[in-house]
Amino acid sequence: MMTRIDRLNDVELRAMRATVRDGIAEMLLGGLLLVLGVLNLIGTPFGALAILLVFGLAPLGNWLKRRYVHPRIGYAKRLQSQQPIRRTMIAVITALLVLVGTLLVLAWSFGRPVGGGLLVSHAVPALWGCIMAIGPSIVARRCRLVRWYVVAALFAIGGILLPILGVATGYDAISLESASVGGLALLYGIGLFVTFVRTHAVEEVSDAAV
Amino acid sequence: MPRCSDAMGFDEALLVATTLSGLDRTVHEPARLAILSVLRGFESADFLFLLHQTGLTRGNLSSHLSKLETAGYVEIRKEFVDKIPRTLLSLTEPGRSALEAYRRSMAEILTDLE
Repeated sequence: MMTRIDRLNDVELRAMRATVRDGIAEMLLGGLLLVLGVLNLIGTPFGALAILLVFGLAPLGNWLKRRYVHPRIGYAKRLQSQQPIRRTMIAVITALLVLVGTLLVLAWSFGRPVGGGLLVSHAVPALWGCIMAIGPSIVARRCRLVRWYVVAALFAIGGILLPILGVATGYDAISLESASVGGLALLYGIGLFVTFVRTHAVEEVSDAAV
Repeated sequence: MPRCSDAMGFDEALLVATTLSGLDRTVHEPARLAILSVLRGFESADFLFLLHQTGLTRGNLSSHLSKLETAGYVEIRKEFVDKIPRTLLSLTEPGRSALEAYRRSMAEILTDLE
């Protein structure tokens, strides 16, 4: 039986989901990762500088929201979650354990000693994948959105599997993973955005009475 | 017809009745509860967003917002974005506390009824 409290939680969750239904976050994250990944893969000297694009994401995202989203479903600014220090410490310790664990598992499975070579070729992509999975997992957990769990899983699994399968190792694996996951996220985001714009009409609201 | 007190015992029924009578009527009304629940996860939201999320009519939403503002639970601000007026609504601290107290009371009642 759905209780009144469940219904309240449902209302709150639906409101939270409404703010990420437009696909803008997927488009921006995907676009950035695709550009970074491709530039690093082709070895251009601008690859490292492309990280500066991250500063353009917030203004671009805000502009897209103002231009296409707010006139359709309204404006809402999310409450900043105050992450307790305990949770941050747990996240850092977990990341370190993942690093050490990955190194040990890889050393055991390949019969090679744990060293700098293995760290760069196999553990760094795995760790990068796990770190990149944190953000999408937080969004997925907060809004209970499956698509963000998929992005998180792609990052985590890709980071571990690419070097193991011999597709790419080290920084090449990071670039390849960024480009492929970024490309998928970008395409999916564009699809969501186009659907959102086509299915939501711009509304003129008179709120003068409030 | 079985009475509530027959099924759960006099003390429990009395406890539930006391808790129910202590509920904040401003928050308990379904439309206002929906408005407060939507605003709970946000720093601020505009009129159109609330209209979509609550499913209320414009007049209804407007009237409930006025009641919540009078109770001091919601703050209403007007601002201009690109020369277009926007009404921003946010939950005040007393509003947040009242909603949390309401949720706690409802949870207690449900526990007592089980």
